[in-house]
Amino acid sequence: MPFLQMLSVIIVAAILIIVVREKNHSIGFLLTLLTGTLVFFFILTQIGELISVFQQVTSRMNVSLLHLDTIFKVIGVAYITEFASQVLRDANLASIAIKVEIVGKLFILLIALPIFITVIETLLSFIPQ
Amino acid sequence: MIDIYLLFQVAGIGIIIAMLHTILKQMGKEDMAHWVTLIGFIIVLVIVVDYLSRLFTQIRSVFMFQMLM
Repeated sequence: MPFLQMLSVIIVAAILIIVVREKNHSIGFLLTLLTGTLVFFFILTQIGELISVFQQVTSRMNVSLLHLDTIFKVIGVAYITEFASQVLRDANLASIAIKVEIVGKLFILLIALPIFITVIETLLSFIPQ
Repeated sequence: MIDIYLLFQVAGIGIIIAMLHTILKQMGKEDMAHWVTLIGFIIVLVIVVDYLSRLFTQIRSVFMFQMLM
């Protein structure tokens, strides 16, 4: 069962981080980063399968694929931003973590702009002249 | 998991570097101890950055980023 396997890997990594951190703080931080990367790798393979299933379903239902792509990009930006901000928080850099989150929000807004414009155009078309 | 090996490798490097640092400090070679710590840090940094770049490449392929980054 891959879930329990991943959980045991994380617990082992936590024990190793606790051991290494009191000897050498910087390598402990890098070990934290490596653990996060491995967990993200594990999640990413599952998410890839999920996304391919979604694409098959939408191609069968004849929905426009542009908005689905936009949604996936937004989800990706959210995941990456969360990852980076948590890493920075682990390194006691909470102020930079907040700035990373602001950048992520702005990028999400930028990616979602076509959907936003479509919504506004639809609303404007409802207004009688 | 194929990559659990990597965790043990990095943790082992950290412990060995800490031991070398302590021994060199006891021998009175402070500057040497600091160089050893720096070199160990750089080795681990190379490993971690390699994995991080692989992670970002895979994220780009999974979430269909072509023009953004």
